[in-house]
Amino acid sequence: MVKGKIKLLREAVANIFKCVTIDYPAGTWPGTKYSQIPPKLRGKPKFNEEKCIGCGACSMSCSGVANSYEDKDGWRFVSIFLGQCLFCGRCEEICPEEAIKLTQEFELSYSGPRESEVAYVRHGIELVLCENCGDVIAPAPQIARCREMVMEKIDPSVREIVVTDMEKYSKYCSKCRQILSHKLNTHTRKFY
Amino acid sequence: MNPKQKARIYSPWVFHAHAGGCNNCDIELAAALTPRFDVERIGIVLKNNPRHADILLVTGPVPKQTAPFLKRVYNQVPNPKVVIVIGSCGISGGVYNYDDGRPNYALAGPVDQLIPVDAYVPGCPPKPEAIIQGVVLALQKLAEK
Repeated sequence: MVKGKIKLLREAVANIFKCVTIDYPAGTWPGTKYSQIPPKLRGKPKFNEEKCIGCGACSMSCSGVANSYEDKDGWRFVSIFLGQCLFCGRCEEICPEEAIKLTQEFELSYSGPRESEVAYVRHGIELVLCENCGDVIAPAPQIARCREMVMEKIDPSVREIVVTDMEKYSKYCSKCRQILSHKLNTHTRKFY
Repeated sequence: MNPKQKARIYSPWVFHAHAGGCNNCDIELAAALTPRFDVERIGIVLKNNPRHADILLVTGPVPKQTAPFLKRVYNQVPNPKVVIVIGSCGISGGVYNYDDGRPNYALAGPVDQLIPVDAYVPGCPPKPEAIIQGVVLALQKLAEK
């Protein structure tokens, strides 16, 4: 026991002029002069509202069930419940447009009801509805992005036909497209 | 503010109730109590008896087996008291929920279905700094009681 006390005393004397305690909002580590938050810290997720196309890939890849979306009155509401979020960063990994990012914000504690509005990260995207039946087709930015991608990769010989067809059928949902394909003359038999 | 209440807010004693879970929040909580983060500068001292404590720190999703013990510990803490839930499990079930969002059959529900909760600290696990911030938030609640 005496040996242990001597060892402890030696440790105390060696550390007498060292300061172990760090400033509150962040930590220090070797090489940095001032306290700072780790640059790759995974904190509160944040949507980039200009980039987000509302595809719902983040909801599909969510390893908890924190990230979900619902379609309501012509709008798609993507919401993340921080009380369920694991801060794993899968949504950031999977996002095709790099629209969702985990920020360094870690002070997330809240009081009040469990499902209070403070604990949610929400984002709304406008949907395009079918002109024939009123069902949801896709969010408007996603359709625009898909059109862009098609235009990049399309063969120039069929470009005109595709552009005219796309203008016709992009107003209808996938079921109505099948029903109306004869009327709109958008069937693929033109190509062969 | 009377002197008794002032003393309580200047030195809140905490009790840590582990209610199931993966033990990760408990490790972060132990880290928060080390000299590196030095919670004693805001007067927080860990106590091993709920009868001495002002603040109850609950971690974990509360399995059915643990539920009566948690209720008993809550009743042992003298009034006024505040309860802080640390980690996603205690808030909503966290990773213990099913993939479609249904609650797990072995859980007695999130903590707020058993005892009244004043502050929540989301994170899986939360940083020690986040836990300190949660305790400071709960102290504001304690001042009102």
